[in-house]
Amino acid sequence: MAKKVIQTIKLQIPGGQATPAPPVGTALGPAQINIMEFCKTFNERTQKEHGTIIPAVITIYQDRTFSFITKTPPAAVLIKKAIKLDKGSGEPNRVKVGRISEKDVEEIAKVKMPDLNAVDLESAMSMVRGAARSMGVMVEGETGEIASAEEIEASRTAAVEETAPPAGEGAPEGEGAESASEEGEE
Amino acid sequence: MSEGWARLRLTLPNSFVDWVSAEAVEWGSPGIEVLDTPIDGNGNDQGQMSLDIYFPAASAGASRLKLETFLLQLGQQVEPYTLGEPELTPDVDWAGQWRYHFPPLELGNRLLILPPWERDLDPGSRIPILLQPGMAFGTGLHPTTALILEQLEKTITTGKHGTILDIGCGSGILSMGAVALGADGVVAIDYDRDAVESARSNIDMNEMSDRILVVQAKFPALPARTAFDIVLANVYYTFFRMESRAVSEVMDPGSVLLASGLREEEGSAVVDDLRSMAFSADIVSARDGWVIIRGVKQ
Repeated sequence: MAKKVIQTIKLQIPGGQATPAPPVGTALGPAQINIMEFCKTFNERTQKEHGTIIPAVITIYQDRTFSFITKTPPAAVLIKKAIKLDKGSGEPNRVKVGRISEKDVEEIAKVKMPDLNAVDLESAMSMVRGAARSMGVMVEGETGEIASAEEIEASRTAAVEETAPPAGEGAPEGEGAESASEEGEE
Repeated sequence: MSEGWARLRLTLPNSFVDWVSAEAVEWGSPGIEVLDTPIDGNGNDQGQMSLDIYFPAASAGASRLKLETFLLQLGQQVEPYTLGEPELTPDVDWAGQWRYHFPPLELGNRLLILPPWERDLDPGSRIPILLQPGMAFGTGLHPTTALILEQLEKTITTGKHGTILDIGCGSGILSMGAVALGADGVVAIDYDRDAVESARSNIDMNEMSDRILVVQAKFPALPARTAFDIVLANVYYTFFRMESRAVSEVMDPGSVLLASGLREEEGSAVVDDLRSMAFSADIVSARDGWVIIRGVKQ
């Protein structure tokens, strides 16, 4: 029990699907812990969220034992699931891809509460609304038309063409079609 | 090549980490490692994080293009970001390779800790204990575990050793060591559920469950009020400062306390506490900055 932490490792893995392959192997292999035990326990704990991305924080101790915690799936993933949305918008301010009800916002806020720095449910809900808006999803009180599939696709490719950089590294130059300054919560 | 994996390293503002990771998984990534410190060398680490995103090597090029497109769609809000080229990861047998880090381990003069896959190894004159390394503390690799097992060996061979209490049993390594060395019975407690499960599984593997009772409990809660001949506690400084009196209450005169999990600078305060409670107590051994105290109740 004289646990001395020597390292923490953060992974994002689909629930119920951890295997010794990367990123588990590449991240936990050098830490010299029992990788199979991690996979088994992670998959047991995340069975219910099979396939949904789950953040995990693994703590490695000096005698090469470990512990880990799992966090809730990202708000964006929960929003997409709740409203059966395929893709987010390329221009969240202009092209709206869907609408989320207050009830869904509340459900997601409840799921996310343990991981958010929210003092109460209402502030957690406001963070979820922010995440929704940044994907082009309208929340209650907002009016507007949901764009057609073609428009949504166009918004995504337009953003690419206008700012396409030379292939390779480096941040794209020039400005985006819209200077979207939505709050990027989380 | 088709079986292999490739890594794409992406450095971007940390508010996009979850979103980008989620998209990558939808495109077939088996997962992402999140690195707290950005590794892009441009010196700009304000609110930036690096991700190592993995894809099957065969589709890494296409996945990189998807990722790049996605980032461009996000526009200015995701700038600045850096997306590296696919790098093949070394072809390693991750499922088996970790085992090399848990070789057979000799502890004290009599015990040999073996991982389950070495169960057929000839232990020579030593007593083998099978131990699955995992989440619960106590692989034998930590100096505090080795120190207390060495002292236990001396205590059991020279004094009485009927019943033993193992506080914070972790993997169960000390309880199993006690039985292997000749103890009649052990009560092992730990407040961590994973530890209790792990201890039970290790004890079953060694066919010692008739002599070790494992209970999920936080000391001083115990399954039964009784006095123990030896109390083993490989825990931490504040435990001893807070609970030494309660430990004394489950010991008879002549019973031995082995207190491990203490740093060098912490040992003397615990020795003083024990002496004030009519223990004869001393630091009896030290290793790598850790000390162990042997206390005999008077």
